[in-house]
Amino acid sequence: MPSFFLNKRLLMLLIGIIILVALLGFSLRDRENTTVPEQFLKDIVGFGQSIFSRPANGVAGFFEDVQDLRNTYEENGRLKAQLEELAQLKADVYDLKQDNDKLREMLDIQDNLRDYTHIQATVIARNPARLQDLVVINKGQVHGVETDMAVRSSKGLIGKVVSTSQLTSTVELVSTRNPENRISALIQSEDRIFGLIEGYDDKSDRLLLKRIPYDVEVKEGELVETSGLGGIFPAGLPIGEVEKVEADPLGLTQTAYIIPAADLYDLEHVMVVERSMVSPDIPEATPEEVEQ
Amino acid sequence: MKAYLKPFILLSACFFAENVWITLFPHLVFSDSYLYIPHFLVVCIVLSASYYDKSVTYAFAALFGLLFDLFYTQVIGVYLFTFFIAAYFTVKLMKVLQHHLVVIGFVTCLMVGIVDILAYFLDGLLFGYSMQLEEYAQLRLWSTIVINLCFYIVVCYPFRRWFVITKRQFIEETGRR
Repeated sequence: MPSFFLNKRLLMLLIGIIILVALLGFSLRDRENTTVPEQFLKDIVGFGQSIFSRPANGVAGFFEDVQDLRNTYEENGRLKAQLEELAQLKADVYDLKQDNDKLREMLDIQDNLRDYTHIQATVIARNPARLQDLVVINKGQVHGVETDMAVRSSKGLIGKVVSTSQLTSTVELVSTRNPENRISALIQSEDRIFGLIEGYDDKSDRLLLKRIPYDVEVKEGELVETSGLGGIFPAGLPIGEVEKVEADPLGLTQTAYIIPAADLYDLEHVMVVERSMVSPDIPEATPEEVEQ
Repeated sequence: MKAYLKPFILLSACFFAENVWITLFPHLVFSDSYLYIPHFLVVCIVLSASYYDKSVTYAFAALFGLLFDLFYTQVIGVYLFTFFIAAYFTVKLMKVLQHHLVVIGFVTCLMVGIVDILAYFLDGLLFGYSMQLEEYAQLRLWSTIVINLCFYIVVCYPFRRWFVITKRQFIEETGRR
């Protein structure tokens, strides 16, 4: 038996595995925020990464432009037709907005789930191993980014911030396999239908909108947006559109397959969305109250 | 000092090159068919273990594994462990194998495979498997090994030269062999 402990290699292996497990355990705990040394290292790497990512993005953009040039003619025709509709839409939206504001004033409603401010950011890195869907953006605590903020591209929701350092943040995309990542969503139909985005189908690249009551009818092509009821995201961020609906095995709920509005693979410029309305928190006791 | 700085620069370049790869060819990494995952760091670590000092290689394998974990994943330990294992196995293998670029190419393929498989299993244990083992072997493992072998073929000559020259400086500086 003593010879076993004298075997240096085995002992090293055991110690190595113990350290590995300890580190995994340390980082899998639900951490409110990463530790200072971690943040420091992350920022240094982020700085180096952003130097490299800009030219790379430029080159990639150039090739995309060349691709785009090839089908410019058809696209132009389509866009012209859309532009004519857009002018009408713009006028309608303006009218409705004015109307909405007036009515709100009359009723004296201050808070609105739809209000948000956003921080412009650029994706500087993405996990190359593709085992988890995380991207790193070049804005951090200094710029006002906090964990749990929603992140969107120009087309729609792409994910939420899971950790921040001073100058960079990590964003978990909606396509993640993390079961804890749930988004309260709403299907825009005649009667507003609520459900939760839970999970992602890798095979077909669709988001799964679960927990839709069994008795409502969801149609294909209906638009899905955030409902703002989760207490984290603002309302009205586009998520995608319904492709098909299936009943759950138990028959109590339905699951809708959603085509994501945002392109989750070609990410460059994103916006971190900060909800203006504060979720009700339990107010902390002031020192005077404590004394009493 | 120079002897430590030079491999560090090379490994850093590989670290950033992985991301440049993704930016330039997103459809190769995020597709429904074959996945070409870059493991340029592993290629560099294998070359460093073959032509450079082993203890320096261990230290840098652990360091860059840690940086990789910190920056790209929320979990510290997976790549720290796998990169270190790759460095260790390479050092042990190179004791019995011939120092020839073709041989080291085979070793590179082996190490890239080991790192990718280990990462797949560890990630699967922690978060649930993203793809079945059979599918993984078909769609990801072979293509990943091939693309990293291509990278190896491109960089093996200049990297070897760089490491051999730096090794001489290293011996002059430290007196270690």
